Amino acid sequence: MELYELTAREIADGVKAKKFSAEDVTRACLGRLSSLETDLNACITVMEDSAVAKARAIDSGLARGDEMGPLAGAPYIAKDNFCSRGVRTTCSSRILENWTPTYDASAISYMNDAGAILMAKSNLDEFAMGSSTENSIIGPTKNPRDLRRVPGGSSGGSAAAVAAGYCPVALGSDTGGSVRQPAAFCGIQGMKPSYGEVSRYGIVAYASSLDQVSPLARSVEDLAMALEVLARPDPRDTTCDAYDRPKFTDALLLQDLKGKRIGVFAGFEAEMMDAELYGALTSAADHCKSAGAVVEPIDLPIAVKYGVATYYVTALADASSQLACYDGIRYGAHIDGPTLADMYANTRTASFGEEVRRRIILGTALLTEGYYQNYYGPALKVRTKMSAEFDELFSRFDAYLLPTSPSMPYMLGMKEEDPTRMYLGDVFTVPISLGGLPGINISMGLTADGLPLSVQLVGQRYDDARLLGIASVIERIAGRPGVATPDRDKTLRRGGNGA
Amino acid sequence: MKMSVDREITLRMARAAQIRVAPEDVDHMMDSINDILSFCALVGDLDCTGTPDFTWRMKKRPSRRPDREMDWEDRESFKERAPAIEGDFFRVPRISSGV
Repeated sequence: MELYELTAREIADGVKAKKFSAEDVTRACLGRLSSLETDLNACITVMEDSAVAKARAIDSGLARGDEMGPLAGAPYIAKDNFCSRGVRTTCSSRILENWTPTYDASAISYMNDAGAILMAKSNLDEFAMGSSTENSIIGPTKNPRDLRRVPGGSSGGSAAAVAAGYCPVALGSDTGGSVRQPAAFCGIQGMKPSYGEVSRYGIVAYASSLDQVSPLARSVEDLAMALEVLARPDPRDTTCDAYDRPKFTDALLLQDLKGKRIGVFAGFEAEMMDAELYGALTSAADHCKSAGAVVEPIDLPIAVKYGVATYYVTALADASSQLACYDGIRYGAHIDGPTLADMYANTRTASFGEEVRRRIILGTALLTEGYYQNYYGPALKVRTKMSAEFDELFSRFDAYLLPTSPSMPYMLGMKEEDPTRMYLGDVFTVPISLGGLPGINISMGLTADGLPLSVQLVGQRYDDARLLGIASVIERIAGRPGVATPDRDKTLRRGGNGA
Repeated sequence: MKMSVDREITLRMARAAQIRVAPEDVDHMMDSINDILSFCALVGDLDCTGTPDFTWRMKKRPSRRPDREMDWEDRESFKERAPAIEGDFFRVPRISSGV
């Protein structure tokens, strides 16, 4: 096995036992990145020198007998909407193309303090608005399982990087599925924690009533290790809960699901999802049964019918407010004009991409007289009813299974022209975000064509530890995802996009 | 209730958002917004009589920061990141062309 194929747990254990050095691992991961990046385009900035320097510092510390943290020597990649001191943070947007923060996001600080090594910043849809990682200043990221296909989004760069073996763990942000869906498309594990579990300080906001820092990895254990580092009170984010978190890795001691009740979503209409993904859902339910759980069908009528509409009203209204700070004066791009209003409009029109402009204008409309009363106000009430639907469900079940995405990863460029269709791809992820619930994408292997299959496991808010335990039992039966090596010949044989 | 925008409202909303829409792009932007407004009108279909607005519940609210001046970065660090400065200040064009 190559060093770049190891999990974060295996790296930390191996480095501490001096089986190999943090520098060896970091150079192996950088080498993997270097050999595949022309194909994948997953990273916006690669920090080779600082990563090697940090790895050497970890090795020196261990040689002195210092405690170097639970993720000692594990390279990681952060989505390029996490502020990183001295490293440009673009959000894949022209408006921040040359912006370099002078501070680290809390999540970056926590990972660095835990001994993890930041080696790159990854590609995303501009300002995290998208589901395919195609809307970026550096162009689209490709799916390492099939280079003709999208990796999902908006954290597609982080997902592709983990799947391809650039790093064992990466950070993304999940607003309406932006970590769970790319994890599903790239065939890895990805977790959106409960809203309030992880500090959002230093994450460039898209919709702050929904955004949540979320780890991606090739094992549930690595998700638990990352969450244990990330989840803690932070007075710099007033939405970050101050309660004492459990030890998330303790949940992995769960051996079976005896005494657990698992719901399986059964409220399908025929055209709602891909048959192979439906098969993966059935397999996951069977795994739960074989591990001793009681499994029963459930429906989520309010969440499924109203979730996407409620999500877009909420997220777009949030976005229009949050992106008002890009005015061309304090940071970012600046295009002059004779008056202040001209300068604002010149800067924002030329520097935001089309999808971002559309969402800001629509969000602005939704907060004005008339539209507010007919859209934003009702959406707030639907969200309350949706939460009540979840609460009722969790009075009877420990967790429930549903698809992450209704479709397999689609061909590059295929859905971009139809925004409403693209939004409907989020039907199973956005309700979970609206309820603030934790959700984990669990890999369920590959199809005969090598495309990834997965399911989503959802738990009650603040029940992240129990959810990780159940996910680890399912993973033990389904098998852990391996590193993907892109098949360049497949692209050539089948003639590229859309073939 | 389903609502829509016309060309004039589209341009007014764009102005409020400080974004310019080229004349040849107005119809496309208007259609795109109307598609989404039409779809999102679903939120009005559910009977929510007596339902309160959604708010986040927390297990333990974080304590508030002391209400006092905070240490922050120095003036130079802000100036280094600013896209345009004049002397010691951010460069801001005049508010109105008529002044």
